[in-house]
Amino acid sequence: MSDIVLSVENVSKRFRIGAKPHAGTLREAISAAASTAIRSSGRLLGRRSAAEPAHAAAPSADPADFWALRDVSFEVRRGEVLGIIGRNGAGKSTLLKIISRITEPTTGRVGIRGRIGSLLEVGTGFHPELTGRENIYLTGCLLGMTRSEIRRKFDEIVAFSGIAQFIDMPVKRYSSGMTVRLGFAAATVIDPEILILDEVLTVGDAEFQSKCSARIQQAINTGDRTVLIVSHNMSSIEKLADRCLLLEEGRALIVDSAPEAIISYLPKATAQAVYSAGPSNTRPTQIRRVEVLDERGHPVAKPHDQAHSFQVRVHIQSHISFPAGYLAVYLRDHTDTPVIFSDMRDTMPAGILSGEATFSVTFPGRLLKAGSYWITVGIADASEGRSFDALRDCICIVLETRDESHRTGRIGYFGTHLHWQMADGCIPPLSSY
Amino acid sequence: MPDAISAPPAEPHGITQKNGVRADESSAELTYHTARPWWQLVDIAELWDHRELFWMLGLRDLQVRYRQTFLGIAWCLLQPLTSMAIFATLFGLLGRRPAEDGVPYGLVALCGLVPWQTFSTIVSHAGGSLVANHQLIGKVFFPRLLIPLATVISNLVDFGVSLGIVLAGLLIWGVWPSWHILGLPLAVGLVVAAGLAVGLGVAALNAMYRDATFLVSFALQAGFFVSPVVYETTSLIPPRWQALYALNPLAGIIDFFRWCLLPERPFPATGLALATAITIVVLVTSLAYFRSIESTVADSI
Repeated sequence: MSDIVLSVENVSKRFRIGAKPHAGTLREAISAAASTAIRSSGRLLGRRSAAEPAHAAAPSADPADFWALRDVSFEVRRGEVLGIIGRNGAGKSTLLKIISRITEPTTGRVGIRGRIGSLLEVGTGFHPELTGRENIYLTGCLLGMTRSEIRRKFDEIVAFSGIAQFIDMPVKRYSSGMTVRLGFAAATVIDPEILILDEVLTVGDAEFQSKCSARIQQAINTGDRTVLIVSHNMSSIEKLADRCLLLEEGRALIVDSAPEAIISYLPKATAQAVYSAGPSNTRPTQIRRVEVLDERGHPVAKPHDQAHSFQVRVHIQSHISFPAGYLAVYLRDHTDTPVIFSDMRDTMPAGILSGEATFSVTFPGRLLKAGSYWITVGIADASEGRSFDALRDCICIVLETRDESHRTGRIGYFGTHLHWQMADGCIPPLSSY
Repeated sequence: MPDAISAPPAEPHGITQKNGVRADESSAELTYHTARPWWQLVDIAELWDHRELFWMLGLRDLQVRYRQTFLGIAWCLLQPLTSMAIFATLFGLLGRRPAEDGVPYGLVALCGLVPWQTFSTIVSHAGGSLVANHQLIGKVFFPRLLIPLATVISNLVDFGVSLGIVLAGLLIWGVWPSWHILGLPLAVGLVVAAGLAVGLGVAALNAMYRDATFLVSFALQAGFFVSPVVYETTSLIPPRWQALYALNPLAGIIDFFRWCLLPERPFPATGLALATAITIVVLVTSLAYFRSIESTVADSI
């Protein structure tokens, strides 16, 4: 019980949209108030007009209301890393703002134990006229640190940002990259019990990003830091988060395993193992049908045993011939990372003739590890250097391990069994297995 | 739909953990930041926790202002001096001197222009401060009251400098201040209080309704003439209007200001009392309105 540091209880947040009832200008507010006054005084005098609408509609039914969050409840324990994922507009930033006390919930409440540090944006509070040094103090102060704390950590911040020689220049002279580095560096020194990060892992160049991820990982590893991360970068979420909160149109669902949550969040490809498209007049060449079949030629089961091969069969229709045309296919995993690519020219000569044709490519068993993969198929032309048709993530294939002795998950992308042998030592007796 | 936030937890209000305080983790209770009771306009403890931020914001404004303009500090002197010159010329041409005798008109005008300028810049800076800092408001938590309050810092510095010029002017003209000058801190305090009283209300109004600024600049322009800035109340306003005139708190404040610095002026007892009372009422109303929008201003700004 005392382990809970954050408790969100029945939180809902309503935004009023539309012209009524909140006026954008004083003039509108005054005229709205005046007309209401006139109407209600008319009612007082007994002159009820028949055309007056009954104001019996409950507030929640008002079409001008937008509920960004609906009855969200969850708890976070000390030391936990919670990933918050959801589409744009699902309510993630609103939830973070409510937890950080930037705005109030319409209903419900949030209980907090400990100091909260929120990083909702990098470079908040930066003023272009002030120098980097002055902005560091300002940012640190905004994030709740005292001047003495900032002074102590000043050198560390400057070293992390990598812009030590520019630190006494006004920020308006910085490039955007420098500003971002300074902003993040200044922000990383906060050391609250509860850290809230809103998509701030996506700033800066690749080298800086990995520095930032490492810094965040360090913050997580040292001690009981509770972290809430919002990100669209599924590999970061998978790497850092223990549990996930999945937000969809204001409603929240806690999912205990990050990979599972990510799979639920990603766009669902068609449930069938077949994808077909009608004929098109505009494309000279077109993919008409994609199927995934098992080694016997039947539509593949879901899930499919990863030890067995599967084939992707593609039926195309072409109006003209392409001597340099070829088919290509690639698979992506649940973090959107392309895992394997192959095109027709691996084993066949290029060339697509006019008319209809069916191609198939076989993926050997035990190539990929267990997981969900999305198949993308395309037709391209090497001489023209462009693609004529592409079906992205058209079919999803789910591979699973049926082999009992390999139940524990593999990392990496491959499910290949490599050859092991013992070069030296004793063979343990069979009974010790 | 569930009702609004339920009753606060067992802890007495005001002793909850706040962001600036390191939790010593001896309490195993979750803190629920529920709404303050209706009669508590200002959470002093919370403001005190964020006092460093108050200074940083004020310092920031000061640094930015004086870094941008080459003239910097001179700007705050230029305005009253120029206005004084203009009105002195104007009244000279009109052949009228709307001030008591004994002191050059220029000094009388300065003694009105300096407090008025402070009042009016506090109102416009504080009034626009929430909107100007909307990015901060949307991304960081801190008591929103700090934003308009922090604008007073740079204005006070300006006030100090202009006051210095006024005192220098008095000494140059051989007008030595009497013991009345002891009332100056109170006068300064009243000017600031009046500025904040109006400024806070304007800040809140501006955050909710974007066209409030037009109303305010118009009101300030009218206020300039309806207050004894370039004239003295006793010299211009006929006695039968003086009671009504005294309803303008700036009238009492500026008259008091002149009493502190210039010789041979009656103590504006009723004016001062009215000014103080009205300032307090306006301040309380503004604080109440500000407080009502404070928690959700991040949504509409």
